[in-house]
Amino acid sequence: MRGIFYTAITFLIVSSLIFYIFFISLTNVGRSNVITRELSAQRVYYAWRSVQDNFGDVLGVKVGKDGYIASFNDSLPADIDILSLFNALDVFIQNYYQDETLQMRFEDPDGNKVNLSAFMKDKPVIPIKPMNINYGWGDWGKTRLHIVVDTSNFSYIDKLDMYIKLKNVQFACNWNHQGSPGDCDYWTPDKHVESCDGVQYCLEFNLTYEDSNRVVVNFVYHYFNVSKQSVNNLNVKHGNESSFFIKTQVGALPTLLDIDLKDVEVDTFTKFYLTTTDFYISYAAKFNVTSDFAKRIDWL
Amino acid sequence: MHKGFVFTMDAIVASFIVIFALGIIIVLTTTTSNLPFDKLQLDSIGNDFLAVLERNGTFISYIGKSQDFVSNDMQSNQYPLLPVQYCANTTIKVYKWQTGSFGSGPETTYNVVRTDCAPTYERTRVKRMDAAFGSAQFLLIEMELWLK
Repeated sequence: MRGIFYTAITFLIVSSLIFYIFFISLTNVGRSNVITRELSAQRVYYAWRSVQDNFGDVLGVKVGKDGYIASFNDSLPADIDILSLFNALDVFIQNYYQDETLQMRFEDPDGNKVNLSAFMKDKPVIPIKPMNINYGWGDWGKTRLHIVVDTSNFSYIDKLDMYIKLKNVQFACNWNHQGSPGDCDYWTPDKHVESCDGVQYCLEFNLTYEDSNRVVVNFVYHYFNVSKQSVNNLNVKHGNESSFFIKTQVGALPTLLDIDLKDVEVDTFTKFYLTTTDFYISYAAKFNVTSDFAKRIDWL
Repeated sequence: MHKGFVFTMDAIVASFIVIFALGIIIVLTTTTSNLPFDKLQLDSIGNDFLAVLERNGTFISYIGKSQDFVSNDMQSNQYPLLPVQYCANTTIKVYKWQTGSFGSGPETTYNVVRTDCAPTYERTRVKRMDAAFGSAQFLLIEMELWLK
């Protein structure tokens, strides 16, 4: 009887220990799985952000969203071969940045893998979506600034502010705002209006230029009928060289603004005041980072 | 005589089983249960550390500098940003894009281990990329982290 009692007690103790060990093991396995998923998601997120940060740097433009305002801080013209560097970025990611735990690729809107350079070749624009207000440059040399919006989406733009800093030229015109042909802010054709009352496609446009001598001047007219074209030729010169002009065209829609910089080096600060906060700014391509437990695919 | 020997052997075997079982319980309940959280924390802080140094231009500023310069700067100015009990081993590889390729590998590699840190088995690895597009140079930054 005593043997049976000892055996039973021993059996109970040992089986309790085994159950306890089993329970602890299960808990730890569960916890490890949660942590592994967390780690995986974290790594996917950081990898995606790292590429997004560098993608903006290739273009030399910083975009931002603050409530109703979409902002673009840009440098023109491009001093690097942007398409070649898109290719380099793609190759670097494929060959060195991705590994067996994180797979990365650029995608088109339909989710197909693309060669970034070839895909972006004909898309030198940054769209504000969903209204498709396209901030762009015409080509990747970035020698002009080109903003396009369809008439059906024009009403989303409440106001446009633009500050253009000329880095290597000085003004070669008069800033006396007399409306004469020699004036810096002389428009011809001139479709400015005194107010937007009764004008269907009216743009409130605040344009400021600063030259390399740090002379800052704000254009005197602020309202334009953009169903038609207004053009300003701003005379500038570099030192004692003969003057040439920067052509600023406002309208006609779908062209909202077109500035031909003629290779003048500039920094531009553009703010779109929109009538809604429901918008996002994205480049044309998507970037996909995938691990065993997490995935992020989003517009860059 | 024989009975005593059997009881003694029985007691010894039972003791071993109990000690073994207790050992497993202690190991499972103390050591291993904290490791995943440590790893998550290490990973998180490591990624933040690399992100900060990338965005403030630290890694780009190392291009063309000597190993000594990078080591001194990392030890004096960057590693102190990490908690004191965190050990780190950072490797920065600089690749140059020219004539349509990155050549055979990195043109420069820097490696800096935080002082007073001995390598251990339990390490976590994080990495980040950076680029100096003006000079077409790309950086791969890899960091191992562990606790002292």
